[in-house]
Amino acid sequence: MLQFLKPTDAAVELLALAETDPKQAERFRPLRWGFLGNLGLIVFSGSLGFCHALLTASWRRFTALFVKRHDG
Amino acid sequence: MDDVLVVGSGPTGAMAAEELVARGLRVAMIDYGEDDPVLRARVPDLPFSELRRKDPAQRGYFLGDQLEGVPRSGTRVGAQLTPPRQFVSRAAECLLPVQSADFHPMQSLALGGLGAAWGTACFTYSAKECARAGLDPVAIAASYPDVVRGAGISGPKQDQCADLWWSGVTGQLPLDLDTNAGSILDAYQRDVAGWLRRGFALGRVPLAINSVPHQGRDANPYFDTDFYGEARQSAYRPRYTVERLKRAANFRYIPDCLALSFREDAGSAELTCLRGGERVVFRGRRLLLCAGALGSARLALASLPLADRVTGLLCSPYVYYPTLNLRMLGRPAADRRHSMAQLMAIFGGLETPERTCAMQLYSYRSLLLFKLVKEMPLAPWAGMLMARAMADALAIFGVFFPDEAGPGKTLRLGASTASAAPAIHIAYNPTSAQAAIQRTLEAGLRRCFLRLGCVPLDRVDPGKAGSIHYAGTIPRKNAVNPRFHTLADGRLGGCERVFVGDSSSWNWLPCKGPTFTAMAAARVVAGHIAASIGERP
Repeated sequence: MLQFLKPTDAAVELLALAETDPKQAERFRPLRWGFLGNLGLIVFSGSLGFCHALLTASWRRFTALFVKRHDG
Repeated sequence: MDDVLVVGSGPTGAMAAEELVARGLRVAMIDYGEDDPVLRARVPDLPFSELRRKDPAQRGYFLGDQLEGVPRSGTRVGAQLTPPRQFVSRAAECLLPVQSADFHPMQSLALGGLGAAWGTACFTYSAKECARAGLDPVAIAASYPDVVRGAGISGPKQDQCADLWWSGVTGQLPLDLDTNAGSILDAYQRDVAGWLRRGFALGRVPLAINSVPHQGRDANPYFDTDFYGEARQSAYRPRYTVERLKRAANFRYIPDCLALSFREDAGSAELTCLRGGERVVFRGRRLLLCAGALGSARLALASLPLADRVTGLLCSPYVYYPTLNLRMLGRPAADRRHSMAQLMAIFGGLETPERTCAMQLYSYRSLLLFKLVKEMPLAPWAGMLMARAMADALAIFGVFFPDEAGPGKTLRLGASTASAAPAIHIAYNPTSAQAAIQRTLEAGLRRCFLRLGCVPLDRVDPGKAGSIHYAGTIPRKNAVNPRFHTLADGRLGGCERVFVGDSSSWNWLPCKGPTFTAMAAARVVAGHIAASIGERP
């Protein structure tokens, strides 16, 4: 059910390219803010990230309704 | 004419060949032998964390030049292979066709076979497990030390594994645990008796990885790059045995051969292969099939005069649980670690192997974070933030279940238009009773994870063939096709000169990984072959 909220292949590819760029290594280092700090981060990113993904995916589906299909 | 033709260079082929060569027989190993030494050599011999910070060429070996290390679709068998190891299944995908609605096995035509990507976990089987699988417990127990010597295995002491998965064998000193696994083992050890009462035993896992130098290979440097490079050859690969054997006068390695069929005549066994687009024939006094459970069955079904070219199949059901180890949340984990399984556990009726499951625990460090983000139903920025917060505390439990033969698990030979090798059609449907046992075990497991402080985040089922543990295609007792079977000495039923050296001949598949015991069994069959033709001094 949550499948459509997962990142697109294009977004995953961009992340993979960024993660293997040593100039951006800092962006991908593990975060160590103590138990409560990391727990807070997980809750924050989980809730806000879920809403963001839901809005983005819904908007993508909504706009897709108005795209004229060219089937050849 | 060679004394023995060995088909395949995987763990069983390499071990059998080593045994035969040591006994003075002339051995020819017939293999396809795909390899990727160029990409393997591009991985520097440096710690993972240092590579990530400094190496501008890291994209080549972490993602591949064509980004083949970035999974595009859902979870599939082999998706976990890193680019330097993807050669393992590449040729087989084209040359060994499989047709199935839902069983998509990983096969290999690589030098070293599936052993080139083996997770290196080693387990001894009890006498009860051996007998149920159709193996001779005494011969297997006697053969284990030879495999330990041949492969180089760091094993726990007996009290570190409840004597359940590493018994009667002494290996090298165990490898050090990483911080994550160490914290889980500490939690377990506070109440070992209580855990055992619940049917849960946790301990160190024996690995075919050197903790001290062995046979020209170095000790593991704890660089956490074991999924990528082989600079020090600390993790065993069958290729090392083959390379060593090449220096022996009574061994020859014949690559680029796709084995198609065999036949016997009065004095020899004859193997037909496709090599460079042409059919070539090799002759030996004996033929030993070590092409893996699917490969050996394909070859034998295509060669024997059978009324019905169908047989059974075993495959361990497999799922994995990514869990969050709360003891490690927000705490730093040491960079010094190896990448393979850290801990092993058995759960269920510890005395009834049919009702147990086995787990291997991995920490998630050297696999890149984008693979985690891909599976999260979150915006990418949030997924990455969450992955970074959880990276040090992720504990992945891979869970394997035993498998037994049944009428719903069949492998049938069919025609192929895509390859010179025939296609195999696979149906794999466990009984409802087997599925119920698995469900019950998993429910108990999830409670154990929570008691250990590991919160399950998901349950991932990579598909019916996901364990890559295959067996039972030419078993001792074949309920699906009784004429298609092996004898106690490994000889193929109805043949005089053809033997089977891999897990094809097993009647049953325990939950513990089969590779180590399959290597021991291959050496036992090699002994029978030597006895059948008379050893040379």
